[in-house]
Amino acid sequence: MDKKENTNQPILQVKNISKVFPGVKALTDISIDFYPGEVHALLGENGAGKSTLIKIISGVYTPTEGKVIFENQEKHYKNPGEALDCGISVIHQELSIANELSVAENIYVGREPSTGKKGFILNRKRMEQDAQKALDFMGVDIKSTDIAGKLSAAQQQMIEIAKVITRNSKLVIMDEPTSSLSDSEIEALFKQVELLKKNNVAIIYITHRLKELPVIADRVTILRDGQFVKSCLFKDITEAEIVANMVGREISDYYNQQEHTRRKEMLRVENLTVEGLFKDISFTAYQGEILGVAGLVGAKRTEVMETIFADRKKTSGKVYVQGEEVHLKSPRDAIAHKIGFVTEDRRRTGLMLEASIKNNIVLPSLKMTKKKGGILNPKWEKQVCDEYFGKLKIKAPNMNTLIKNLSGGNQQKVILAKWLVAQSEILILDEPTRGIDVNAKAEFYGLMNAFVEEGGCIVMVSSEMPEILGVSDRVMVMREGVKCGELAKEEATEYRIMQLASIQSEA
Amino acid sequence: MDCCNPYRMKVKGEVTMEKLKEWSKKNAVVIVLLGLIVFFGIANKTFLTPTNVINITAQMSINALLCVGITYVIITGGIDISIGSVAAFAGIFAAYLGLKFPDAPLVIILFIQIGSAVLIGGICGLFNGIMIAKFKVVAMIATLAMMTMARGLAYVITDGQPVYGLPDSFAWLGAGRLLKTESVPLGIIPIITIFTIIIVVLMHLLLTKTVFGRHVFAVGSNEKVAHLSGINVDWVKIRAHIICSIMAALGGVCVTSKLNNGQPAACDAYEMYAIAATVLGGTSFLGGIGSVLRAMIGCAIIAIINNGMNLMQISSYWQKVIMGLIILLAVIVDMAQKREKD
Amino acid sequence: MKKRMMGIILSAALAATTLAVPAAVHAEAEGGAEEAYQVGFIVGSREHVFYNLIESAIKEKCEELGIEALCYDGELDANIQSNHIENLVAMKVDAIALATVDAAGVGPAIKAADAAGIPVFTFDSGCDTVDCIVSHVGTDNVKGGELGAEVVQDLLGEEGGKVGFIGNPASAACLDRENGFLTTMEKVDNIEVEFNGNYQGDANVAASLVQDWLTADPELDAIFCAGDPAASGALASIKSAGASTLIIGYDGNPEAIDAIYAKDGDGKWWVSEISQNPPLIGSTIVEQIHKYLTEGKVDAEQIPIDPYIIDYDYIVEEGLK
Repeated sequence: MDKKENTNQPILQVKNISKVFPGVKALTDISIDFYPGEVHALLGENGAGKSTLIKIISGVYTPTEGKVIFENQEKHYKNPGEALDCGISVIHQELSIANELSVAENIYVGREPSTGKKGFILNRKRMEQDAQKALDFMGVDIKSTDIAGKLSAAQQQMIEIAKVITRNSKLVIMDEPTSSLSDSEIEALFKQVELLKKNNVAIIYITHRLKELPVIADRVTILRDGQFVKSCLFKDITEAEIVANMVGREISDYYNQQEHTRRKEMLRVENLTVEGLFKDISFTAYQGEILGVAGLVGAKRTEVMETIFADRKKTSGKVYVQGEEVHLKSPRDAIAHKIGFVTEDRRRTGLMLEASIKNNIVLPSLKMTKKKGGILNPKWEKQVCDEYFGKLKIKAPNMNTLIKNLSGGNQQKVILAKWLVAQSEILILDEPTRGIDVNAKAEFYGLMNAFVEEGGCIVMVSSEMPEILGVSDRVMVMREGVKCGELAKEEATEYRIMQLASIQSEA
Repeated sequence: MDCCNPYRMKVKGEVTMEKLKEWSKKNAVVIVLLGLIVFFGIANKTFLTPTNVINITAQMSINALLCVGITYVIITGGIDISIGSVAAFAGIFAAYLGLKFPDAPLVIILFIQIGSAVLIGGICGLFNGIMIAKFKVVAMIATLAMMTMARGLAYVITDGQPVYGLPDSFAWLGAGRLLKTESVPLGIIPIITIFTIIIVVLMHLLLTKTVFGRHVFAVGSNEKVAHLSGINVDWVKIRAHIICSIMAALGGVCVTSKLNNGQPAACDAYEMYAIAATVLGGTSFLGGIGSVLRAMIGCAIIAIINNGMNLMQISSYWQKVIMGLIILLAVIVDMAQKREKD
Repeated sequence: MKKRMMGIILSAALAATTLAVPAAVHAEAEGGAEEAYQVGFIVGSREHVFYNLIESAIKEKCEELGIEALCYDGELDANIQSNHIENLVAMKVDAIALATVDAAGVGPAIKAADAAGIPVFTFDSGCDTVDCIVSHVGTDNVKGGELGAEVVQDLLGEEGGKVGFIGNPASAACLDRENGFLTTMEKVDNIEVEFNGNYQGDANVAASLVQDWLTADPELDAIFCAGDPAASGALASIKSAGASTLIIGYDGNPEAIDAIYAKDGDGKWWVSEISQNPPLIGSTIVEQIHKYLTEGKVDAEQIPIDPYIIDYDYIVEEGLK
């Protein structure tokens, strides 16, 4: 990898940029240089100002103060189209692929090659040939005539890169491009990034995954609360320094790692099977421990958890709660057996976004606390909300605040509070810290530990390896609907887990 | 995930502004109502007389009953376009039974009226609910089917004839008045108004003070979350539809009682007015948001427009145009909410 | 919109029945020794008492004359009526008679029937967009409106007073009644038409209208209603307001006769009725069709059936009760 000091001229400079939105200053006096042929990682917690900065660079916002200098010219883009025409492309986290169109149509959408006097007639053949040329150049196995919707997420991302290549963009902004990719897909993506680098394209790379940096980053800039903190070559900084700069303090025990004492059996699953999804899953989770469930995308971990919670009908297998076999027909039964389920998609399956914090917290518990005739008990509702606002340090104006107005971390705490109020003793957590910032994560781990210490039991599905390693007392690994191993804390290493999760077992 | 959302910070910084906006948006409907009252009050000398004000409360009662019910269904995220037909069916059914007991005392007649509403509404609502919750028929289609069936049954019962010759006591609920004085021998306060107020208050309490009410909101807010929180979503939906149809049936019985005459063609397209009033009252088609009491503001607006225009002798053609504009206003209010939700 | 959706569902069902029924009917007819005339009748809507009375008269008269009557519900929808006409043409009936809903809408279907050699008759409401209608039998609704005005004059006497009119401009027949009533009233000096409202065919709407009118003018002397549901609604409001406004209805439904006959009850308000003669309309149209099929001619192209006035005395004299 090429990490030599770059001595050439910067292609893009932002100078003393500030951006003020009504009532809030999003960026304060930011100056950064970006060089061609370099991957420049932009780092910072949620709310650090990264999005605002790239929106200014790509012409979505105009800065309140300061200058954007691209190729030695001061630019005042009126809209993203102008920036795009100058050679600045953005690949968003959520891909803008039209599923019904072909790959070539997607690549050339909005600038289709045409023939005829006034350019009305679409030159499909040329479009497909040009698109294929770009795809071949990238060395990917995609036909320009394929329908985009039938491709995988990783392949769709390749379409976005092909757009960049066919546009001859000089600066590419990639906003968390790896968040929905598997490791092998990430590798393929990085190959393309290298290719762009070789063609002297400047890349601004936004990520939350620090472990990607050694592979890809040449230079890093860290923002915090809209302020510039540090910019340097990647080789001159350590991961711990980066994290410390992002959060503004050294996180000594980021994962709050604690020794738990395993006590009695809480949840036992025997040969749980759902036809066509997963087969013969067996495991036991104990009081006082966190069982991590690791695996790659497609391992069907979420489906197993949904089945235990009786949201999904099992084909066969048995579930025991505290040693007794239970026959759960619906989530209601699971809740009655003191199981709580924090789903992976907060907004879709975790929260009533239009409802208040209070209504979200008490929802599963209303039946248990109602007065005669099904009358609500507002006094109790207020009391438990006050209690858990304090216990979980939920930051919100009050319990009647609409939950959609909270940050991801606080939303997650509300969901946790909901299950604690429902007196759950077994908590199933599916990607519990996805999309929440570093501080909130650390806080959440603390709450998980406290729950386990008080006699709870946690089964945690996570795709973040450091989280699995840092939090779990034991790790179960799944691959494509099969359990392929269980590792005690001492044997669980990233290498062992990845080996189990990705390589075909011998027998 | 957006790593730096300036809007979020903005919202946090202006929580009070947001609330203010929210307040004025919701109360825009109240402002419209007051505006209409002032307008008609000035334009017509009869409008604000006590007699007319009381008349308006009686005139809006039937729509109010339909609104109460459909509010429940719309909050769960559903819709019911069969309420007009169910009202007609129940009304005709009650009238038909009333004919069989010409000399029955008032108590029995009331029992027949309320009983018919509960029976017919209950059956129709259960049917709608089961179709929607269990058989997963789209609500619009399921209730469309009920709309034609109930209307058909209303004709079947009477062979297309109006039911007339009902005992006078049959009219007590819909046309009777309390507080008879010497100068006002027929009474001042319409019984239908009192009846409607009682029902509205009860249904408001059911929605806001009970576990079931909270579940209705939960199902409409996010069905999946409600299910995962242990709520029997199907059963909540079925009950909401039963309530909706019973309320509609009560409305229909009140129409029959008011006219002391059962018309199989009665209450045609009343679902439109009920839906318009409900949405005017801030209930969102997306579910999860709504209020029975606020729906009454919508009802009042519609009733006042009709009444005011009748008093002012505005041509019926213009009345239609103006009513259409009001329904449009309702939709715009709903769209504004939808945009906010996104 | 509602009607149309209902129409779609029902026409699907009807399509099925119309395919099955004619096959059975024809098989029977061909099997019989002598072939009876087969005539298709399409009423405006089976949801109206008025049409139901016409339909039963049609069936009765047909049986008497040995005509096989195939009756259909037009559902107040020109499209559905057109479909019925097309089906009847396909069945090769001997004649078609219909009460048109929208004259322009069914015009093409009527022309097609005529082109296929099937004579078309209309009753109640005609079709002036085509010139191939053999004969039309219907109430003279303008005359009915004029009769209403006469009754009002009789009731108010020399003193005169104020009256209201409740109509339904969506219906052509109601418009005729309105025109007849209002033009006659214009010539009368001592009576003012103070209110004119649209009840949209809904008795409850009529009730609200009348309640509001009586609030504005509690002394309103009389209301002429262009349909019996309007009269029912008006009656309810007048009673609950304790007013003494008189009602003149229109249609002649049994409900009206009962009310007028109850001299000390509803008859205190509902005093008179302009009656159409649906049985006579039904039997006349059948007679004309029979005449045309057997003798090849009809009495006239337009056969008006006069409406008449029903009041308490008439009911007693005719022994209607």
